[in-house]
Amino acid sequence: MIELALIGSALGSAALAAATTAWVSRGPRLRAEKRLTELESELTRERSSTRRKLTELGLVHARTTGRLRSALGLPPSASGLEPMSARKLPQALRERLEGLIEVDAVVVADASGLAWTREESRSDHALAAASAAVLASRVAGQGPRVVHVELADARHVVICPIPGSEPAMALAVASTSRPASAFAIDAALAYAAEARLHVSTDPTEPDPLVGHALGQARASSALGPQLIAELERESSHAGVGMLAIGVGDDIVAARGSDGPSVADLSALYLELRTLMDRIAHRMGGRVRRLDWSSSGGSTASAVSVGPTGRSLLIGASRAGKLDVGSFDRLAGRLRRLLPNEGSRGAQPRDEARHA
Amino acid sequence: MSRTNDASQSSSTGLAVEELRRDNPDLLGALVVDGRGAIRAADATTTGVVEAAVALVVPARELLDRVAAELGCGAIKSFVLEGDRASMAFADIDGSSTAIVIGNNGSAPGALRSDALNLSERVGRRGGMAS
Repeated sequence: MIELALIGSALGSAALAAATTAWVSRGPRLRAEKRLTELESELTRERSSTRRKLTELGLVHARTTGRLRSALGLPPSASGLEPMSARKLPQALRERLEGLIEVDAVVVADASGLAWTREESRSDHALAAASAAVLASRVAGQGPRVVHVELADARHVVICPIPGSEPAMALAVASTSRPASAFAIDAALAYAAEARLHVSTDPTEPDPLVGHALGQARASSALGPQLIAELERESSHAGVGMLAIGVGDDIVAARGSDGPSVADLSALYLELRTLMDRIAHRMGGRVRRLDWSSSGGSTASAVSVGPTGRSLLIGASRAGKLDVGSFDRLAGRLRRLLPNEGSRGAQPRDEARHA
Repeated sequence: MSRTNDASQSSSTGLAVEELRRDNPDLLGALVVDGRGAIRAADATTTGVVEAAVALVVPARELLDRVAAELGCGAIKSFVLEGDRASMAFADIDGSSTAIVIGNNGSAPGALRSDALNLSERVGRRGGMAS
């Protein structure tokens, strides 16, 4: 009997406990269910709001694209266009660019250095030949997106390989005092891509100019420590990823935390030096500065340190062209350190810049 | 590497030829020949290449002048001969004299033509053929 009473008591307690638990947990469950319902309706509202925003963004995108296409002189839509023949494109491209900006000469040339545009100025053949040198230029197997050259007599040359052109062609623009407008050149290249129905793709290869640290400062001359100290001092506040100085065919000092790999650094130096020599020869003047921009958006710049042209300072940066002032200041200090570069002093133009 | 230098190298024409060849590894030679076939200036890595060019440049020029006139192309400004072993570019200087550059295998034809036009312009500007 006692056992039965105990069992009955236990069962009663369990039932009571279950009833109590149900009663106690019912409140939170109801609150949770209510909250869930609220969240679901909130989610529905957010979904419809996001859909509305997406539609609005799509309209804004379409309007912006239309305005940009209009600003670039492109038809409202690319659909239904016939691709322009490679024969007609160069002259059309030149006329498009000359309609946007006033420059000394515009040439579209192929890799053999022959112009595909009518020769209208005396420097056209030289620009075409310089374009061939740029089209042949490679750093770690990649060609440049754009090369900008400043000559000692204040002429500027901008050469851009035309993406997707077949045969490979480059647009070369010569101007005086300042480089041709990057916006106008981009607009012309957009026109070329449109005319040839070329779809640009994001670069998938690693950028050869940045991404590597020079673990230990390299110096292969007695002047090395002094040169490296100068490079370190300047790179700390010039916003550059890497700075290096070379004499002749060899790099004598290099420093940086975000530049080309050690293997690519020598190749980059030699490529920039060769390109400077070739363009100087073609354009008939000393190259003061050369900027080689990769398709990844970074830029390697080279500047002659002294009047002999034997010493070259190069730098690499993710953020476009290196600051001209910092570069010139450093070149001036290095000129005094390097033998055979300081005795003849700086060029008048350099002096003016430093002042 | 032998080197051929015309006696008139010290003249302005010779200087123009030397300047063109300097730091230009693509060029095997450069020369200026007048309408009678006389070398006004020459600078080349080998003698044979200049001799061969000189022997042929005057008849080639005459032939091409005639072809251009017959075809209605007008006066010749320049022409490029692209071969599988070497290439040459010719540019007129003053209607009868010719600037010739000889490029090694693989040199860009457009670059050679540009060199020939540069040489022609420099010689013309310096009055190098006036003597």
